[in-house]
Amino acid sequence: MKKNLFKGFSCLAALLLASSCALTVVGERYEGSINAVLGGSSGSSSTTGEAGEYLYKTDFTADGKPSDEGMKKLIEAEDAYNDTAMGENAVLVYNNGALPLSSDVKKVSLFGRSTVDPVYRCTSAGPTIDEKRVITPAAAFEQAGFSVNKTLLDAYKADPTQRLNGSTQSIGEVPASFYTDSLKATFTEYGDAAIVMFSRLAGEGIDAAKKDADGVCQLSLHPQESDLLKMVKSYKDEGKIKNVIVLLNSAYALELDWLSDEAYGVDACLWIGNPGLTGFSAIPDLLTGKINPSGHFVDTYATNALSAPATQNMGDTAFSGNFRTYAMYAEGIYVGYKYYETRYEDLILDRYAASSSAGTFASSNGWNYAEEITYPFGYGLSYTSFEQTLDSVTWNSDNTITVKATVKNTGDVAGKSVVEVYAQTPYTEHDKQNNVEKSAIQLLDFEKTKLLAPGESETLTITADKYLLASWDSTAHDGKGGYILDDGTYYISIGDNAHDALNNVLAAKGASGMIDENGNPVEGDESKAISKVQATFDDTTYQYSSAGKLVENQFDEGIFATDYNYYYPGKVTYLTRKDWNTFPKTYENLEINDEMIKIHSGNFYEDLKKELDAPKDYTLKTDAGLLFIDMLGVEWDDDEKWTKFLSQLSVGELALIVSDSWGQKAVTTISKPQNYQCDGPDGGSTKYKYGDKGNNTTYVNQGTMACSWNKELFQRRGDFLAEDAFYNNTSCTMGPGVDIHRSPFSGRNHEYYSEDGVFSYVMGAVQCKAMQEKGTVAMLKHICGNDQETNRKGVCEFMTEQALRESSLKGFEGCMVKGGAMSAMAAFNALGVCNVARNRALLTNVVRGEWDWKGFIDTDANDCTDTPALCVVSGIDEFCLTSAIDKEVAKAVNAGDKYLLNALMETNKRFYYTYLQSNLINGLTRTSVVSEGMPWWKSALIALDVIFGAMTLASIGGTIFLLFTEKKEQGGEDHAA
Amino acid sequence: MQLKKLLSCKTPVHFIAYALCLIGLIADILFLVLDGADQTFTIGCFACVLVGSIAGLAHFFFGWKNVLLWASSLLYTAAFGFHLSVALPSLSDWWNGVNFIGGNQELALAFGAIFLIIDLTLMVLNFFDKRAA
Repeated sequence: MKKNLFKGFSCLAALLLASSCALTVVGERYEGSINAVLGGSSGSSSTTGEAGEYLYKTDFTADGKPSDEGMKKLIEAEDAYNDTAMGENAVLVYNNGALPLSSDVKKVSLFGRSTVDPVYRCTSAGPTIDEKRVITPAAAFEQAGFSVNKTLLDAYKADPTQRLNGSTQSIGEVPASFYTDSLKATFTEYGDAAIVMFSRLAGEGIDAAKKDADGVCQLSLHPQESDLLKMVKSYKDEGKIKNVIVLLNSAYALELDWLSDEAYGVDACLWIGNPGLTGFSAIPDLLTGKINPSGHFVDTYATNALSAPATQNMGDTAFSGNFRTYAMYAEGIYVGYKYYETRYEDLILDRYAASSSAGTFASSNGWNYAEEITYPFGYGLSYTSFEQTLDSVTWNSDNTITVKATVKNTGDVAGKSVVEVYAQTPYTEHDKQNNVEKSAIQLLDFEKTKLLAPGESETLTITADKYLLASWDSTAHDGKGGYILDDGTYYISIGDNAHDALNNVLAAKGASGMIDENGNPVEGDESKAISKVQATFDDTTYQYSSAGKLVENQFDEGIFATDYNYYYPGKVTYLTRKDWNTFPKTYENLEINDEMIKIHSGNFYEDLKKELDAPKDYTLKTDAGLLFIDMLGVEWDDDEKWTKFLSQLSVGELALIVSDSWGQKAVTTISKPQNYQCDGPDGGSTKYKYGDKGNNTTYVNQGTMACSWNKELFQRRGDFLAEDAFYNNTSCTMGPGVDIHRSPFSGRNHEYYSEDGVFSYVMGAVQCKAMQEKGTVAMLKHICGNDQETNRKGVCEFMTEQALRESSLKGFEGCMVKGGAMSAMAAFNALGVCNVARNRALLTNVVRGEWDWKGFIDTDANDCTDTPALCVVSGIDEFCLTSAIDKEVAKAVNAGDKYLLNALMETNKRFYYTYLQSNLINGLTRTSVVSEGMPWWKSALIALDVIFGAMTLASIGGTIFLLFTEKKEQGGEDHAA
Repeated sequence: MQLKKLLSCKTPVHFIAYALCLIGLIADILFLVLDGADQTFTIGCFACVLVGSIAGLAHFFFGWKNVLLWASSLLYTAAFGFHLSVALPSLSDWWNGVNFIGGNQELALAFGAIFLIIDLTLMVLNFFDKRAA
């Protein structure tokens, strides 16, 4: 009996020990993540004597230091900002005069289950909705003075239908049978307006589905939605509902050709994207005209969401006989409007087989622009009208282009307008012969007016970078590659959207037969397009980067080649403008050879080392009396001082940087405090440390806010994200998202700016500058090519170098070179077959070489941890969400890997240089005491390990003893017998 | 006769334990087949379940003062510990709502539950273990 007690108890103790040991192991690996949740800390700093200066200050306290009172003011300011942002980014898509709603519209019904389950933001790392602050659609309308049909809302709340966003996706809309007679009886009383809201949800790890649980494309109008609209229309036909207003709560470009279908009786439509925490409060004001909508789309809205060339090769595609996956960027540069508008121009000019049936999805007889497109890039209506004139275009000697345009409000109500500046560069014989693709129209820059009263004018001066007109030519300079500016005629034009701007260019060229997006004949306005002739071919102006570094092909051959034809010549035909019959086919079951597999999944570190310069020797742990704060203001090029500073550290301390567990631990040798970081583009993924310590503000979603086209709003967004950093005690924010909307299905579109790389270049630079200037490191997501969530970990992306540089990389270039962003997160995918985290061509040659960028690069979560040395030498500085990889790196260095040590010194330089320009230095002095600590939960776990370990040992010992004595007694009895 | 002798000194406790070990063995094979390539698989867990199941089944033949059943429970405990250390981070993605860590959470949860239930049952059985009269 006693023996059984000991046996049983030892099993119990062992189970407790195994559990606590497992938790301890997990805690060791994910220490920072657990600290972020449980509020622990792995280090602290305090200042003895006089506190140091606060170089980065919050605007919401008198002394610039965060406080509870400052927290309160910040939240008020952020809520107000979100309302303002929402008011400017909502896009008025369709309006037959029903909007703005008249003042006698008082009682409304909110239709659509999403009115009680809206998408405030899509699923991705970032802030959690603070339930105490969130404004629901119903609350927003009630606060604005409307009476809302509560019976209908309560019925939606009680319905078990759910929106699914996982391995199964469904829009979560109720069927027609949901609307019982008793429910329908309430419509008339609340029939001043039917506000019908449709939502879509995708996000991190999940693309929108080409076919969802309803068997329908997730971006299409679903049968339940169609039934709902028809039902509402039937009440409208009977006079029981006066107006039908549709709200689109989707960050993904939906199919919208049904809006004008008389079967649905839609009077107006407002696109609202993902409004964030409080953005819904602006919706009633937009509908009533208190705010005049001024948003414009940052994507092309195709009639058929599957019609984009990129979508032909997007999703789950595996190599033949291999589990590895790929995405073929056969569209080249023709993403979004660049495809539709370019093909349109060639259709008008009757060339290059533009009218062929290749790539037709919605056209009835050969490719027809008006049938393929519903709303073009840059589209957006207003309650007023504007007249824009292009006053002048000046090509300056410093390679900038100054555009002056005057905007006049010719309508009856105040409003804001956007001057969208586009360019057309010549498509020449050189381009055709050398596979340099050219879009017929290209966004160059933009500016939004102030609020213009009726009759008021404003002249805007926009200075754009001529560099954005250059095209990548892989054959330039005898095959070394480079940016070129063709000889020929350049047009700078303005327009209400990309299509309008192109029509103006066509008018200037003397073309005829133009149509608008509805198929109506238009003449274009040649006065809105100013041309300039460049007499000579130019391949020298941009042969060197703005940092003076030679720019040449990096991805044309070798392990970094991104073109599939490099491995299998002639296998892939990239879409070329000179023959629209090359509209991409879907490439399935492509082959992968052993060389490609080795690059993708092997370790080519030894091969890489052969191409590097001989490593330098360093003598570490050499005290130079330099602390972290002493390096403030030290120039990057002061190699001597940086070497002295970093040589004070041990290998272990140098390696500490590579383990990023929501930040890095303190380094006491140089008095560098622990630093923290948070996710993501829509706000911090953590709690505030002041006030009621609630969840960080969820901003209007980045992709939604992009539709404001308002640089000042994005500057303020950068300011607010940096303000949040003060109050949540972080120094680095993972954002903005800068990849492009390659396809309307891409799950992360909500946290990227646009389908257009130049839009991201311009707007990203504005936001990053604001974030950095206020003291938070902007960590761009995800360099580069994170354009689909399906198979995002390791998907091999094949593309031309022109597409890579002009589309995928462009936004990052703007953020880093112009905006001063000091950090980036490497994408999960491979470029070609080389994972980004191991891609020296990208991370070192382009980003640190050509762009002369000095920031640090983090992997994405847990990526490439099997080849840390290769990644660090390739240009990775940190491994995201890992706590133990530093030990592996230190071990390799101590074993004699000098290349790794050299890379580690560079990594540390980038890291410290970056954080010396952040709020981490606030209050630090030479007398600051920095200590390493152990989080409380870790101490508790270790204590439990000891207690359970002792219990286990004691009970096992007891069991063995009892078994042994029992055996002896039995042996004695036997002997006696 | 030998079989009769073997059976005669077993109690219902023993037979429950053998059944569990057999289930555990089958589950362990499935664990390797279904989850072997996933990051929620550990060779430590697999090996401990394998040896623990064999030890438990071997008790039918060898008895050894019921040490084998006791060892089986301890091995299952070790297996659970190995599994928990990799399953927990993967399961945190469910809590986060974002795929940070990755891994097949459903399989991790299923096999973790199976091994834990077997372990807990074996633990309880050890309290009541005795030779048949």
